[in-house]
Amino acid sequence: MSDIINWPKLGLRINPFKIVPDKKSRSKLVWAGFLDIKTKFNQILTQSLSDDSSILALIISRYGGGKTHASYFFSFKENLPSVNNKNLNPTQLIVKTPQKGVGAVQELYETIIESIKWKNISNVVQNFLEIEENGLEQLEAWSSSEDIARLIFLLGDENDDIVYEAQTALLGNGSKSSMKTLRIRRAVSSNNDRAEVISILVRLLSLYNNVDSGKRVIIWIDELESLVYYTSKEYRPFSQFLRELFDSSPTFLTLMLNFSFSDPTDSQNIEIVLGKALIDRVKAQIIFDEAEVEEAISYLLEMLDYHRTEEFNREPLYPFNDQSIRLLFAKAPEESGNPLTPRTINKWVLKAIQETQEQNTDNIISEEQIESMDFSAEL
Amino acid sequence: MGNKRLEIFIDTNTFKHLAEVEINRKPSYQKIFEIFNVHTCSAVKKEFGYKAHIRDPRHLILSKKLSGNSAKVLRTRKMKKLETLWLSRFYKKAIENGKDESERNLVCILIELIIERKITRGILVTDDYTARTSFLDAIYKSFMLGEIWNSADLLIHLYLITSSVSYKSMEIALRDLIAIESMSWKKYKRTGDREQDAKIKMIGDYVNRLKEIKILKENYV
Repeated sequence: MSDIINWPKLGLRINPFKIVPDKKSRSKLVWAGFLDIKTKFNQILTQSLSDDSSILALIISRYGGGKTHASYFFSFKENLPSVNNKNLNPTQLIVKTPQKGVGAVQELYETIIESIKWKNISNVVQNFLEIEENGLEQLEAWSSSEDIARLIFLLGDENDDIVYEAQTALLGNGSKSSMKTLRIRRAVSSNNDRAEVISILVRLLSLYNNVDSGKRVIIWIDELESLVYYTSKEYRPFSQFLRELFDSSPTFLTLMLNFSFSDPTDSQNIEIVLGKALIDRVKAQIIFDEAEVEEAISYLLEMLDYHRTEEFNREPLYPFNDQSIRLLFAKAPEESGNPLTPRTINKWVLKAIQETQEQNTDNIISEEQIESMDFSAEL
Repeated sequence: MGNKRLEIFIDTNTFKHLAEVEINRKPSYQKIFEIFNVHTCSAVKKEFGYKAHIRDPRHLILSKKLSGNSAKVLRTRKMKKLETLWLSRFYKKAIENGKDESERNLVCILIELIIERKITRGILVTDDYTARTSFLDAIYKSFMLGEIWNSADLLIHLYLITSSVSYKSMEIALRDLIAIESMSWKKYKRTGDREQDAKIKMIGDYVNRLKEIKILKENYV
């Protein structure tokens, strides 16, 4: 079996069946099939962009169900729903739940700040200070700590050294001499401080960004099921941080929490892992369960169609036909014990193409060929 | 009726896990020592004293406990004989030092205690699911030695028979126990599941069992 597939021969520009989404290339991110799911995402995002209130949404699916792909897809402004005929460009961040519970809050905090990028933070603080005459006073009104307010204020300073010292103190690493230079008593130290810093940045990015942000910051937190590895001493501060972040940002924030679980409808077990306090704040939920065969076929048709070469003029399912693809989508889940999800569909379709490409110079993949394949060892 | 205490036999992995989980701000094995007749073997004791300078401090404290009177550290002079003539019928791998040593030794000690009528049955507590499925389950089934539990089962039973541990602290202890990296989750793994899926199901199952006991205790007068 040769692994190199001649995609143009199959009427395809490139391999459409990637196992992990390509986040860097916009053109390769395509939403195929699963219209119900896309509609639910659009509803949540439309509500986010048309209303100031913060939203906590929980997205649950099996592993490989497409949550990460959805976050990459919607993180491009072209793919967001338009609101009042306007294409808005909110700040969107995609972060992963830290895999280790030790220091998880600090890790997530740093990841969020680094995803925003320091230069963007400085730019938005400078915009804010240009617009608001009493900037420092306003920041103090938003914060429960004068020191935190001052640190954020100093991020807009013209002196690069001051900005650098303020950034360091915001990460909790300020020395005594730098604190004296910055005229602050303490650096950011507690989880409440961290939640407050992010919450002020959310407000600034929503209201004082140059682009038409739709007054919104959307944070996608992936792989939240990793919390199962946290001990209670690690889990409690982490979930409290998420709660505090949400509670201290009553406006402008959308938190999209991605959770993989093989039984996505088992809300009781999901609540045990995430905690009641977090679940009680969930305003919207999207559950993707196992795909039906018809959904899988629609997905495949759209994937093939999107990646077709201009000169392609054969049947839409080529190199499959209706019978062989139905057989594949019945046989592979049964033999492997795995459900139909976008990831397994991609894997099985790719395997079928790989295993038959040398025999099929021009013909379609037949039912007999699918019947001869073994999916029992597929993970 | 007298105050009967359950005879339990604990292997190395289980002790490690119990040392990493607290109940009422103390290592969970303290409560186990209080409530049960705890047996172990010299292989387990040796393991906790080995390379003391690089061990987790919690293991060193446990090592001292095992040197005291908290648990009965047993040995049998018939160990070699039992292992080669009897256990090898079930244990399909080569009998080597360090490989399933504590499980092998504990089951030999247990069979000797039962044959010599020192105890009637014993609960073997092990978190090594592979050792269970490869030979322990078969031995227990053939000789009716009692039952095999994991450390979460032990905590569940502890909650049933003691009033000094609250529901909340036991729930936290169970969650912490299942979060431990080496804690076996394989029993809960179905085809297509990842480790996280199995662990989530395991936590859910034990929390539900704990809730059932709480209801029972609330209604038990």
